[in-house]
Amino acid sequence: MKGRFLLSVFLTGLLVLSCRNREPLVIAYMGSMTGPNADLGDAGRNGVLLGVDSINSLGGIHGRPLEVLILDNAMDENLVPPLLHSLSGRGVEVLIGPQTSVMTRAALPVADKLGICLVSPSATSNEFLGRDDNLIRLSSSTTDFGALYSALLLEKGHMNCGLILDLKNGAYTESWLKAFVSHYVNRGGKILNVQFIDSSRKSDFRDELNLFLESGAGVLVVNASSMDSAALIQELRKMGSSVPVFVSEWAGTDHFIKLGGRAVEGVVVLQPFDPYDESEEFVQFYRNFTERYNEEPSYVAIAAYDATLVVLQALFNRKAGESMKEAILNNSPYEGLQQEIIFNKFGDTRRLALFQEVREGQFRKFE
Amino acid sequence: MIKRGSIHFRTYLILLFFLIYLISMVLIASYFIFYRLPRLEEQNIRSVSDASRELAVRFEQMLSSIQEQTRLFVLSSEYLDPGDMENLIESMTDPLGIQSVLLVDEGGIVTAAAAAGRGYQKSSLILGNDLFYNPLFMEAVKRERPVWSDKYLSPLGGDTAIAVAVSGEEYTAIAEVSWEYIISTLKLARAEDYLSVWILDGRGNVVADTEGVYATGVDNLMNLDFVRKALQGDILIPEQDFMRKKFNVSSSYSEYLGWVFITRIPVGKDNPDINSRFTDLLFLLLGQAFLILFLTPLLARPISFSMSSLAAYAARIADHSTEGPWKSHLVWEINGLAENLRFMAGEVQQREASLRDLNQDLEDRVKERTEELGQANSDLRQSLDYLNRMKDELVEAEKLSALGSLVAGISHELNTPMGNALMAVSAMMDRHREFLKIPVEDLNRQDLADYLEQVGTGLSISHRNLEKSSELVSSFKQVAVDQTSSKRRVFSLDQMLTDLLLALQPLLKASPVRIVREFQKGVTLDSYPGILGQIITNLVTNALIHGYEESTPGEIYLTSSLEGDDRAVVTVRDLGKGMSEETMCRIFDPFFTTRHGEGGSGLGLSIAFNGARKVLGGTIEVESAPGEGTLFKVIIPLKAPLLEVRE
Repeated sequence: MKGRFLLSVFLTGLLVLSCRNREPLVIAYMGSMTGPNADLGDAGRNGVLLGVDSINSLGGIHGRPLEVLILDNAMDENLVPPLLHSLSGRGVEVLIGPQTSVMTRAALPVADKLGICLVSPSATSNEFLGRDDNLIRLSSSTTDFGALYSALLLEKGHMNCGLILDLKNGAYTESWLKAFVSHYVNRGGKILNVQFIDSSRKSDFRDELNLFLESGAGVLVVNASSMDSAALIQELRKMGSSVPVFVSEWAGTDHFIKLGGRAVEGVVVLQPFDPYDESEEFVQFYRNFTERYNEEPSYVAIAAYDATLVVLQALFNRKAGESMKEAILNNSPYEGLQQEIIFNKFGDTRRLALFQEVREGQFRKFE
Repeated sequence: MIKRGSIHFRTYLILLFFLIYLISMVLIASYFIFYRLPRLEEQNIRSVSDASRELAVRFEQMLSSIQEQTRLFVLSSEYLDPGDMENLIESMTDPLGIQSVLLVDEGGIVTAAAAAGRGYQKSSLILGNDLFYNPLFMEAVKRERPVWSDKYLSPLGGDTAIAVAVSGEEYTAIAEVSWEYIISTLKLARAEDYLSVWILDGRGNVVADTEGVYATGVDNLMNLDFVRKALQGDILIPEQDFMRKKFNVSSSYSEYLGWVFITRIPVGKDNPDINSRFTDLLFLLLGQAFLILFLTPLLARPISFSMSSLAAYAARIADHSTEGPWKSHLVWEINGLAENLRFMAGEVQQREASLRDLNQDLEDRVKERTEELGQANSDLRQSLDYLNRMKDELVEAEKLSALGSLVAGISHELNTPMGNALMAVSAMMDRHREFLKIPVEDLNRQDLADYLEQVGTGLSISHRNLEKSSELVSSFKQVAVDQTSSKRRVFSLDQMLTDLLLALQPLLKASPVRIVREFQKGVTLDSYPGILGQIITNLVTNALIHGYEESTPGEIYLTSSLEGDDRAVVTVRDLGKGMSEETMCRIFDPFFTTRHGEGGSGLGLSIAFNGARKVLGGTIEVESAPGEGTLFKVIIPLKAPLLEVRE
């Protein structure tokens, strides 16, 4: 299906080659390219740019080249509304991003007001689930992920655990926690300790770690950014503990390893994509991405790339009078990089996910 | 008279100035577009390429101090005790320069740290952390030389930053540099305001740029072709398309930093330098146009005033109204012209006066001559009237003379038959008397038979002669009727000519000249036989009189024939003396004759010619040469034109 789409784009591109000088179609991307979540922002941006580029090289959408406005929210909620307002008058109808739930929560009311459709590659909070808003999500909801972690712990025989969660992305962490707890406790798991950290308050997390250690929990589950997760685990290892650690999918980027060093060896993380995919399309994407950016695509990059494909296909097939959201929902399902993307009427979908483990400074398949 | 479509001097001046302006504008614009602009563009390309090199060098120089500091710190770290070390590392940091310094041992464990940046954690928190997989650390250890990072997530600061790692024997120091430092360095290093700069790390992330108000670390430009090229080697691309504009783009790669410095200058009207020059030029040209359109009328006022005064002055002179003195004006030539005009006017007036005199004189003379001419004219008219009268009289006399000779001819012709008849009758009467004398008793048969025979012979003779006379009379009657009237009728040409010759018989008999005739039968004309007879009579008479010397034998050939479908030709030809060219030219002129004083009136041929032309609608041609005889050809239509009735 994607092949056919690209072919039709190509043919249309040829047809309208004569009127190449048409006004570009402007879309926006929002992420946090600076601040502690810069790894997500960068990866998402790279995915979007790669997707847009591949369409532009085929002649754009109906002869109109695409242009991406890149907005950096620096993981600061207060920056989001002014950034969105800066788009008004520039003909932007669709924005890919934001990536985190808390930024999405800040963006959604403004986007609803401005009529900008948000297509978030990675916002997962349950609070967006089943709502008829201007938000399209490519990520599964936290219910799925929280339950997946719980199932893994239970499967590996970890019948008790302690959790440390970041409040900064509360919209996500709280619903993730609820999903985890309900699944885990219902299946006989015992939660011995839950700690909340505030990553904006710089600390060494020693207090929280001490409380966790004192609880005697056999496993630590961390839900924080890659940076905070790495720092937390560094501290845990410095304190001499070798308790197994599971970190949430939020931290599943290269930075986690770069900042965590050997301290994060053996840590298990959920990756909402299949890095071992050998399909031609994924291999091609992987090669293009690494050649261009000199780094491997993280799940955020893949999700952002998928989001871009969705947006572009919807733009291509959009009928006159259709809002951007209608165009996206009406053209569902989409052929994503690794899976078919099907939206329900609220713009929600599910994605596949695989657990991975850090070994020798790399994410490896978790056996 | 002033020609329509002419314009005022002032308008002319304005148009002239404007034309000069237009030409100069075209020249200036051409100079700018074809000469200056390409050079400016070349200069731009040079400056953009110089700028990227310079920028790279300056950046290297400015950042080398930080690198040098870090290197010295690593070198000294191996000799310092922990206390001094702490002081040293603390002293290195500065919120606006080196934000943090980490000292990492061979195993990647942080052994010393200091931080001064805003929002940084306490440096002690990181002590003991494992940075083994930190790419900067790995690179610095592997390369054994200072390494500058790409966009880098600080382990201590929790934000993106730029760092340099220097490896010593045992330790590796990682110094983080604040964005502010990078940006202030860029501000210092940037040469021109309109020069756009991107500083990119090895992965295409924007380390610093001048575009997004010195935004750092937000964008990645690997999607741009020329950026990918720039990361592989220095580039210089004129007129690169970017964001719907064209730029001259140049890049320099800094081996030392691992970064690329890309500079670009807009091309054409987007280039502020070119744009400002262009705007200046435009203002200059518009200003000039304004000045010319608004100032020329003002400036042209004195001269156009002079011109119009001059024109008015000239008009006054032309009207002979009082000239009035010429007020001196600014322009020497105009004053000169006015002076000359006045002089010219004086001259013109003088000449006018003398011309008027001359004219009067001429008029008088013309009047005199006119009177004289009037007199001569009336004299001439009288003479002409006299001549016309004379001519009419002569024509009448000629007609009478022709009638006279006709009557003579008739008498002569009748004489013989009448004489014969008379003689026969006389003889018969004598015989009758003799017969009567014979007594009846003496009458014998023989006598009676003789008498009857003689009377019969006499009667026969007289009858024949009387018949001939009657024939002659009727012929003459016809000729006479024809000759004296201009009756139109249908007649046979050969019959008419035969009759005519009969009438001319007395004339011919007196002459040794013989008539040779050859008439085509059956030529019928609807014409005026009287006029034709007169013409032929005239021609034959002329041939007799002029063609041959008296008593010289000769022949006159008279022929008639049909020419074409609608014309008849009668020729009269003699083989006599002929005539000269000069004579031949004049023979049809009235009163021309070669026999003045010998009875010729000089009207015969003239009448014949006029009759042939005007009445018969034909013509008479003549061919002759001295000694070769003369041929007259009368060519007339079979049907004469309708004559207006005249009597």
